[in-house]
Amino acid sequence: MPVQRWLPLLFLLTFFQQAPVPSAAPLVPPAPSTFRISGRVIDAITGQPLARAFVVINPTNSPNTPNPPDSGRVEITDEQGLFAFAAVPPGKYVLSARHRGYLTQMYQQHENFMTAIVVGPGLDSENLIFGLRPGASISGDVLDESDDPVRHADVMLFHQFVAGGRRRTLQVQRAKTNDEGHYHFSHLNPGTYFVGVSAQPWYAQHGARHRVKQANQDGNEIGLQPLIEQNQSLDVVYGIAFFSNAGDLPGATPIALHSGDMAIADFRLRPVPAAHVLVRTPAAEPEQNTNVSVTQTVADNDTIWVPAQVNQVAPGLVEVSGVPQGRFNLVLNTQQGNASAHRSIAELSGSDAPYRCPVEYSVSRTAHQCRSPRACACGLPGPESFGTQSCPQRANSRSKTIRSRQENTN
Amino acid sequence: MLPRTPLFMLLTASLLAAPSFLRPQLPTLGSLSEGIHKNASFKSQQFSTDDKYTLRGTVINSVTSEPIRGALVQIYFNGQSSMLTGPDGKFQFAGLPPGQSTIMVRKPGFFSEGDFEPNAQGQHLATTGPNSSPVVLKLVPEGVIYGRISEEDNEPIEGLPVELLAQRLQNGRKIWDRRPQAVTDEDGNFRIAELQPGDYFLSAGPSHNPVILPAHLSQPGAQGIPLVYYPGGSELAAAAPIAISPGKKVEINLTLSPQPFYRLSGTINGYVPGQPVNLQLRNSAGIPLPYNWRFDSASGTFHVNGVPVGAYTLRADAPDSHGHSLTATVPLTVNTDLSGLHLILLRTVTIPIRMSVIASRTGAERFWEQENYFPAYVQLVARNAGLFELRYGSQQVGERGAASLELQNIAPGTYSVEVNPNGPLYVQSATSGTTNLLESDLSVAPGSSPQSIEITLRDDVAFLSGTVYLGNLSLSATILAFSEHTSVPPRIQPTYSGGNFQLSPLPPGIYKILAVDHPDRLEYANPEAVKKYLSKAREVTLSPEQSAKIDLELTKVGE
Repeated sequence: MPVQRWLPLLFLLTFFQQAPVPSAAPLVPPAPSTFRISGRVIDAITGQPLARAFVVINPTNSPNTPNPPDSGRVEITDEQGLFAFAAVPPGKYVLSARHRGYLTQMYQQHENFMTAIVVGPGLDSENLIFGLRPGASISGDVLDESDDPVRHADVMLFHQFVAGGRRRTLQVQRAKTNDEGHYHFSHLNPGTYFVGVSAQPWYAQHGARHRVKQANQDGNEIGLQPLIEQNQSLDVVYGIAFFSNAGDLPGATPIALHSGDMAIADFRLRPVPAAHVLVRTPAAEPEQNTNVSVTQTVADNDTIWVPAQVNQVAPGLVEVSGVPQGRFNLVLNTQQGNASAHRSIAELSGSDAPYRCPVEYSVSRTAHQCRSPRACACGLPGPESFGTQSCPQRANSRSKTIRSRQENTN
Repeated sequence: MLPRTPLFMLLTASLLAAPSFLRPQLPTLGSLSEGIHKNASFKSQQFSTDDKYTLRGTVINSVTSEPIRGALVQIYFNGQSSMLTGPDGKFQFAGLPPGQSTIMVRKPGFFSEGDFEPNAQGQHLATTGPNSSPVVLKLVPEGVIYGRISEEDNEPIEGLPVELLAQRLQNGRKIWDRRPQAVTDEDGNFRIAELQPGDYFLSAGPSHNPVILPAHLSQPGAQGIPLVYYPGGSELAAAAPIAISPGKKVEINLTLSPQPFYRLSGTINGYVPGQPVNLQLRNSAGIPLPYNWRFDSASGTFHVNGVPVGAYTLRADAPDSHGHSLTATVPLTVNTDLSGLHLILLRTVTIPIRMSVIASRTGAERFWEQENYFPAYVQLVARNAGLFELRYGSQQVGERGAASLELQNIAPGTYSVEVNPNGPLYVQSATSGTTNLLESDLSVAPGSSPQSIEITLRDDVAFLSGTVYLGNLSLSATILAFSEHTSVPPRIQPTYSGGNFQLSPLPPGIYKILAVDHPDRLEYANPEAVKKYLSKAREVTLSPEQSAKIDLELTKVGE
């Protein structure tokens, strides 16, 4: 929301608007004690006056003294777009205006700068020309592979901008598609945007593919048994999709918006086979609550939760189903009583999908090496091993880095 | 929630499997006439559990009877199997063992017929075997209410909350449901989908932030869009229902104009400094309105902006230093700024409950004498709470062995008292002082220390069992038992197998017993609504400790 972005601006004002202090000159009649702020609100593109615009002045105090609520004054522009505030005490004011279809703006606001109105003897605070820029919008429809609308899809709007000399891309808005698969982002500032969609096929069935075949008398030797083949055509996911046809932000098509643009970004989601990942969790201790979740990094410091299904196959071994292909993070949360939670992240990368065979990862507090996904039950390092097949190494196909970190979340 | 019994679902299945009357409407079903075929060699009249069968069926739209492609059909037998219907709405599952399977079907934009049948939970039952037929599964298309909200000059109103209230039957009573809110977009449009058939009441507003107009305009001061019920009033009582039948899409456009918004302010007494004070404004329908209250704990003053004209109840709640709750309620009529409102927080009331059981049943175990056993639980149901029922349940207090029940934090008001026996017992009397709570309401005065509720129960209950028939066929149904005392809510219980029922123990007395197919469609707690069915009911007089057995003919709701 633009409003939030203005807040820091107020604190910058003092640097840009130092009111020249008029030197008291003799023979000048005494200055009036109140002044006027007046001007005209126009469409910044066409120059047309804007009638019935709301214009607000708010005194700007020092950064440490926020304005009391309701301290602003409101005027409404007439048919010529004219407004006037009479009897304004000397001081510094933030002037803002809003009008339907236009971005709510502060006077001469551009990027991170704006101009405050300084009112006082010898200062001209009249005949201001206040140009409002029409807001831009991005809307579109999200359809599935049968051209049916995808409901409740999460649509993410990313804004690319340069801050501190660095280009950054941040998620600025989020919307859900309606029953017609439609979404809409409005009141957008001009700039460069990306749109991404995260959704799941409503019919997806990610049943667990494995169960543990018990076990000799010692209970040590546990074998993994694939479950009866299910209808795998339903074991599908939609990977995160970026407009126009990309699986990640670097491959996405930027949408350059100018004032008043109404861009359309439609999506047609295609299901891909879901990955099944076997995850070794640290040996479960009594009364220890361990769960695994999956997240995906979509932008700088921006991760989204992936609605994967997690089934415990055996103590210390879970099957994560319904995982999209590509890079994602496995997050292990361990909770023991009220003790602190350990959180480990295994970052998985690779593209040699479909993962018809499960990939085994070990998530723990210490880094682990993971084996190739090619064999259906790969051995894991460590004393217990699942299955007997050897793991063919595939150089460079899938380099996994497993980071670990320990956090005190208490 | 009633217990789910497989037999109850049998009724649904028997109506759904092979509905021959549907076939003429369904050209696609002609090819299904062979129905179930067998993978293995097939011997007529004989099959073993090793034989495998194929279940075929079609998913159709309940309104248009058109086949529905891409619907998810899931079948549960020993395992589970899922598939999407083809372009012709057909599905088939091969390799099924003979017997009964549960089938579920769903697709976005549709409800399963079972969604409206609380006992069936969206399931159908199908029989696989040598003689079974294809199944037809119906999906009920959703309803949608959409439209545009604008001002008189056709300018759209953006960001206005739009909400639906639905009336539906629960436990034989009409209750109100609030649906998730929608908000108008920049063009003033809203859209609410996924509506089950029923009557809906639409409200729009109030707008969150009032606009403060300058003093020199003709109508200066705060303005905003008030809460409006379709087609236009501020009272739900005057609202018009929007009837949604399956698949119906209704357009509702509203033209609204800004109205003056007022400011309420005042003081609160009796709160504990440092403890939170919660303020809430409810409209005459009992719906809380979303306002940002400003309460200054140091001075005890509060204010809120942006309240439209109307009748409200202002309520404050706060905890005292002992964890009890304090409450104050003030009715308000707002048509100007109101200052100097004064709320005095008073302690809510705790009502002790004392219970005794008269043991007169011959040779019966005195099970209620076990440690920590309460022969009944008590609930207070607030009267005049608006649309939404407000209940207080009894709580257990005290140490094990000396525990008792009480009703805690009861705000002043009028309540009906419900006593639910725990075990084969019935209520002989429930009183508070001289008030007979089986006949009259309980009145709780502000700041009072009320008398305890005295409950006497008896154990000489009566038993009623029997079988439900339709013609010569016994079948599952739901039994409703209406007491001669209209203040006693009807007993409801499904049959357990083959149309047999065994009601939980009843107080002796005269009952009218009815077996119905769709209790969810009958407002059975409303004596007026059941009147026309009671002529078909069987009257039974049960004396203490009697065990009676009756046959009942099924009564179809709606006929």
